[in-house]
Amino acid sequence: MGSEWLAYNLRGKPVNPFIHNRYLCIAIRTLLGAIFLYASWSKIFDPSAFAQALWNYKLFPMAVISPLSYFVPWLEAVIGLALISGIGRKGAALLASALLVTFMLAISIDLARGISISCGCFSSAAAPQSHEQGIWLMKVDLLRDLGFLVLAAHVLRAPVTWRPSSNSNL
Amino acid sequence: MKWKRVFAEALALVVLAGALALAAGLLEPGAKNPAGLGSSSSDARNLAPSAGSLKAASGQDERKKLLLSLAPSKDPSLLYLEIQGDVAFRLHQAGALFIDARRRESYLESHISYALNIPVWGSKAEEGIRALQSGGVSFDDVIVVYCSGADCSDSLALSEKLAMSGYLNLYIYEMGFPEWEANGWPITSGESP
Repeated sequence: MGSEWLAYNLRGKPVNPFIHNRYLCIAIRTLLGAIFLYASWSKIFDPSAFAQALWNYKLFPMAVISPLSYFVPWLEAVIGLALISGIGRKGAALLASALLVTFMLAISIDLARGISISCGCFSSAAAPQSHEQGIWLMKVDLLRDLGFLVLAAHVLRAPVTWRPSSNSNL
Repeated sequence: MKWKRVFAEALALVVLAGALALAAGLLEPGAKNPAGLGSSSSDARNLAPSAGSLKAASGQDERKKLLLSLAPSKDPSLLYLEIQGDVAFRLHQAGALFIDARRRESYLESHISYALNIPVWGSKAEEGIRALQSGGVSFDDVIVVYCSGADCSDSLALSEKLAMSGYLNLYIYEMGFPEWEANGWPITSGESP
């Protein structure tokens, strides 16, 4: 007799089995974890370049830039590993969401102020050649981060357990 | 509430990241002193050149007076003053201390002759400023800070740090290294000033 997996959320209630298909959930959190791990890699080895990217936002006071330039990349790495391994994935998804919202807010503020910056999300590469190109890239970054936020929200809402249904007719 | 577990996990990850970042910061290899400071010479000002007409001038006090007379007058309430190339060149020829705020890689590739390097980002800035103080640079010495030009804010950031450390006569060479190099003024590369 075959069995069907039923998904249960944090409160022990069953959730939509299609959206929260077990293998889809694993794939999404692994993808998100890999993205965060990749984003952290170059910044861990070059905190000064990331510090410069943070400074360019013109939002953070000087005193916090150096500590942030060390802390944020390592936080991204830890989030990535937690998501990939599945250990502490809910907490990692919550932190990922918070980080993404923070960066989206910072980019939005600078867009509103007309300041062209390099996000510093995946690397601290040289600034774009023109102001218009910079503004366009910032909008792309915003949309990309929104996509990542959707993934993080999915991981956060994903079931914590899957149990075979004992009433399955398959 | 199971959400308590989620917040507990998040907190644990933040603490772990903080510990790793602290360890990385402590273990980060880096120059204990920027180029030329506190190593072979205990007086950083000896690294600045003496222009031909100044060779007859005696004593550090004479040079300081000359530099202060050449430097544009600065409102004491301002942290720093931006200067143009011709003023920067005059100050360089008179032996003012130039500080390159760019990253070390850029400095080693090419920099204004006799300029010291204090990369503004990372822990090296604080180390560099402490080395200035221990190297005998007085708070009222004329200091010119530069980076990669008008779009570069590194010189601004470093000047703020220097001002907060007590340095009074700070000047930012606005057009920075690209203009200096384009004008064919003295530059050098590598570790040597």
